[in-house]
Amino acid sequence: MKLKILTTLFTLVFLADLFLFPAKHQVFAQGLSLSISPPILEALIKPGKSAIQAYKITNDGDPVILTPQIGELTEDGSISQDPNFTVEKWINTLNTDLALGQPFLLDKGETRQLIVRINPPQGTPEKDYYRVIYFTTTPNPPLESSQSSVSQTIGSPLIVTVSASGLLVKSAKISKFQIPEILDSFDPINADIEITNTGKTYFHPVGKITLVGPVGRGDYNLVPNAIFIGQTKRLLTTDNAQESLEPSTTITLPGFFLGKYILTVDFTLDQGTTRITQAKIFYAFPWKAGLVIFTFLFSIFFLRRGKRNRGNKKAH
Amino acid sequence: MTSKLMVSEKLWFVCLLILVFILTTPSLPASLAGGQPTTIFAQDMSSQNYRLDGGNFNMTSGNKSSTNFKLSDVVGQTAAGIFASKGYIIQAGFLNGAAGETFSFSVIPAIADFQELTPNSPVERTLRITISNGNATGYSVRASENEPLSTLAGAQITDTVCNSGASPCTINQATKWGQNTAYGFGYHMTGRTVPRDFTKGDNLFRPFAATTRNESPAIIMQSEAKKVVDQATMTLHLNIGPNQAVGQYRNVISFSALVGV
Repeated sequence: MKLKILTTLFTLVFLADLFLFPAKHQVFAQGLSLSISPPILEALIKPGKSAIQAYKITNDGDPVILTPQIGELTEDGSISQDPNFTVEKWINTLNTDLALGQPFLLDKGETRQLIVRINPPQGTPEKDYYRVIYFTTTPNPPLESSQSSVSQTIGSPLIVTVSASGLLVKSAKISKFQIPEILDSFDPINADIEITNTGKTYFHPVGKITLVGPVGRGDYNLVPNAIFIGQTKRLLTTDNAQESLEPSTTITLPGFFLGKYILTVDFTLDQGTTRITQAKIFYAFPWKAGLVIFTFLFSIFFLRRGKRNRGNKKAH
Repeated sequence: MTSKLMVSEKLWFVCLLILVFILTTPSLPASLAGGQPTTIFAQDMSSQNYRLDGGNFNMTSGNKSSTNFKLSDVVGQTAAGIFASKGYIIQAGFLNGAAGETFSFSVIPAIADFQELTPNSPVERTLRITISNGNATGYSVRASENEPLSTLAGAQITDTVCNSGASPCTINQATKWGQNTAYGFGYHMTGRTVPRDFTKGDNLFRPFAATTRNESPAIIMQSEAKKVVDQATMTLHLNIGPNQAVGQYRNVISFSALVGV
């Protein structure tokens, strides 16, 4: 009897596990689905030295024909469309089964490795190289009807810094720090902060924005996006990144504000010692409501005054 | 009889256990599967009273600083990220959170079949786009077409300008497209991370950026967040006029996805 109960219970658990909890790798039917690992690689390398990275490409959808390529990464984080771009010879692949520009079949559920070698020779210019490893699918053969076929490209940015000493100069400046000096108490705080990379290599801003007011303070961590050489980029906070479709400001803080506030941006270039700090003061008071009340009182005052004057004239 | 029944019940229970084990275990270890044993880097500490097995045993970690120095470390990691003596540094391991992650991207279905086209009868098809970025910071998805929908003879369906008038839509700005006499091919996006110009209504469309016109692909999904799984729906809208040449019109829509940089 006991065994019967156990068996029944186990069967129920087994069926629940089978149907309620899907497998870790979801498989998409009748569609394109690719995964790549690692999703991004940053490397600092000496001329004359060699480093190797294995990229894994997995097909979670229907069988596809894929073509691996290495392209140029643009400042806005996309793959350059320049047809004249040629990747450096010292970024190449070691595979015997795959080659750049050569299509191969990747079956449903299959994973292949692309072994990339980074091997700058002596005399390679010491600077940043912004590249991307990507795989593009070949569209399905057309049907006998009007249609749009889909092609999919998935990539992994490869950011290589070639330096013999590893001590490329990192520097930046805050090129824009916009916040109103007088803010209505009921308006949100909108601050727009941009930084420009004035150094010889890219960096990630690591730090936070702090708001200090009459009562309390708030700290908001910066999103550590890469800032390429010569690039000007808006700083973003992790809160803004989560909530906004397209952040048009660095930070937006709704609420009620009254008094004197200090907004400080403070970050280092990567985990180094170069620190950038700037603060701005602004004042918040309910000037819009004040203006409405003042206009109302002013109108009442003039109406009464006008009424009194008319009364005096009649009396005379 | 009773003992035979008990034995058969026990046997059935054991078989069920084995079946559950096989179906729910993701994979068998290579040694059990008959393959070659693989080298695993791990730490193994033991004494008379205990044994610790682990992939890593961190002795210390975190951010430390002084007046002149700042240090972030994870000490005890078996696959350290810095190989300064070999002349290169690759960010790998815990401090580079993206190193062990996977970036996934799917588009379903792989073909938008418009079938037979009838003048002044708009056709719509949808594509579902899914992104998962793990611990990488953000992502962006871009879309473009190789050329406007064309037949082999060279007839084309022009990309839409929407309702035209004072504010035609462009490859980066969606506007209203609802008139049955406004012809062309375009798309609308819905989802949490699609551009703002799509979010003010369901009848806001853009034409595709076309490679033949040297136009750069337009962003259709973008986020700065980590560890998200986002979905969006692309609605393709096609409307032809009575003067459109008969034929099978085709093109290729290309989607490109990268993690945020």
